[in-house]
Amino acid sequence: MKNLLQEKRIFIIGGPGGVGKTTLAASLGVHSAQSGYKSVVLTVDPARRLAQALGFSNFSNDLQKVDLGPGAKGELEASMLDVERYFDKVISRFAKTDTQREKILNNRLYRTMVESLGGSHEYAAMERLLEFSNQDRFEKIIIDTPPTQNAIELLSAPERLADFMDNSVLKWFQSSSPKYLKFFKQGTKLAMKLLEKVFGAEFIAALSQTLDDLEGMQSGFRERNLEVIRILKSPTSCFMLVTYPSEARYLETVDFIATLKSFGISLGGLFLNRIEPDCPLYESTENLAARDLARYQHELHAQQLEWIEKFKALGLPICFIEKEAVPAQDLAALSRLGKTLF
Amino acid sequence: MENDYVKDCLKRNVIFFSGKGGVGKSSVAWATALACQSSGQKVGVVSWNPLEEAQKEHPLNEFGIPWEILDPMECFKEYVLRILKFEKIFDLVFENHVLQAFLKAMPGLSETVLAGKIWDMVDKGKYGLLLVDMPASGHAYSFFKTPLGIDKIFGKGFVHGETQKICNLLIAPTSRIDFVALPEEMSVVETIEFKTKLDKLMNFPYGYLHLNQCLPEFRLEQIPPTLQNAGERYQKSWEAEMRAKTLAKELGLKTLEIPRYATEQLKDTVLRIKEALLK
Repeated sequence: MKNLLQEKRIFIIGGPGGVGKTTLAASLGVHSAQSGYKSVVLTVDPARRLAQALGFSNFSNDLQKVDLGPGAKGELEASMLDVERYFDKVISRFAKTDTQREKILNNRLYRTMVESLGGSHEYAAMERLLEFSNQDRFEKIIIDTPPTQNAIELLSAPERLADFMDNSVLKWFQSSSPKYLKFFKQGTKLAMKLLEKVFGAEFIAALSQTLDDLEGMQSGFRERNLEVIRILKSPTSCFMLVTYPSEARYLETVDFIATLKSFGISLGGLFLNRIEPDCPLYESTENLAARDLARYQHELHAQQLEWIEKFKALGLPICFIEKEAVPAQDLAALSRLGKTLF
Repeated sequence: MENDYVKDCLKRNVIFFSGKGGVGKSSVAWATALACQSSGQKVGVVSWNPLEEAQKEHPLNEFGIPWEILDPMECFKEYVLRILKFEKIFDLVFENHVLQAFLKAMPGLSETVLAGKIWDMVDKGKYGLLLVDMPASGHAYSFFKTPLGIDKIFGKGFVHGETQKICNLLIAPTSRIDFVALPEEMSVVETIEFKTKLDKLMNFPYGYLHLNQCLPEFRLEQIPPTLQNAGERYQKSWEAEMRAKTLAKELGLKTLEIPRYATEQLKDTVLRIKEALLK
């Protein structure tokens, strides 16, 4: 595990959330910076206290320097994921003209899609990964990911967006408008009628308009999304899973590994979080509360050990993290936690 | 004799369990299914995990409760076939690379068809009570929000009509939304933030807050030297938990405290939570 921090540049921290993923990502960032690397960490939806620990006073995509105090060898910058504003930025970058940019940003369908519709968190997180990766000043990049029950959504996000922006899709819709009438095919006509019946003619018209507005930008999007996939597969990237020693999480982990494998990615290692320390049994006929506490704690530890053995059998590097009575919520605690990770 | 929790569940057709991953959402959903089944209710569990292979050997199958795992593309097909009637035409039109890719990528479509499928199951009365194990909260939010968002952008057409039905389902008095959280500050704060977001959308029929994995109470008066570490840790955790429980009152929901059991076996956990829910 120790070598991973030296060998890899990009750390993608996955997991179901609720098991301390964001806290771990943050403490990994702090530790990486304190080990002398210029580091950047992206957190998704951090709890307020954790955001404050990193120095955020408000929610923002902007990179913010984290004050690590005197004696810190490296540097840490942190950013949060504001999906809506981030998408606007991406559009602004790819728009060929100001008119095109304005047209899209004011497009009702586009607005509804980024504001309220699903999947955009995954796209945005992967986009930012690419953005950081292209900046040479970052020696270590740590990406916290949106909570996903499985890896598919996250990994397929760039591909799905690329498919959505695919020229052939665009042509499909354009072919229904009169200016492309000569390319009209019978199958397309039938499909359009069907789509209109399902989604409503108004929506299909709005969608055609949106795709029209996006014309010329698709290749940029597509390239970037393919680039993300390339980075995820690169040997300097490392996918880490935050999990917990129980049957439920073990089954999830096995699924997770299988999914990654189907994308040609291997899991770099596991963070086994919230491990209960062992406790000696205490037999007493008077202090029953102490006896019961010891039994309880002992049994919990024994139960976890059983699953820890199964996790070990997966043959991956594992970092064991003891459960803290009170979770890390300030920089000092993040730093302490970070030191135990690598 | 049923307790208040089971009685309330038996009045509903569908209960959504929402919360971050890893807090025991599935366990609470399954335990509720078992508890209601023992009162004679015909129950079914819905979840999102698309890995069918894993489901076949999953330990929860041993309970024998019907388990519906929803696949957006399958649901979409079902959906379209309801108006189209001819499977051959569907295959002709949609079984091609371009449209498949397009449908998979189309934001909001999968949430809408999944919600539609749940509506359909409830409407057909296939189950007396459907327990829905929601995806992690970000996705749960888009699940609740999407039918509303879609409603605004689809002027007319089949989907528009469907979303209206889904919205009605989400606010029906026979539906219920429960939250599952850990008795920890961060988890409770996240639940409060999530509920605040939902509150802005609609008047949802909220039910219970399940505080899962609450420490059992040990009334320690004197800590023996060999238990110094464990005793101190316990007391610190207990105090932190009390603070989290106080904070949880802000949600204004009926709260059920489920103990942290000394087991990490899935079936065992579900059975013990069921016992706790029946008390």
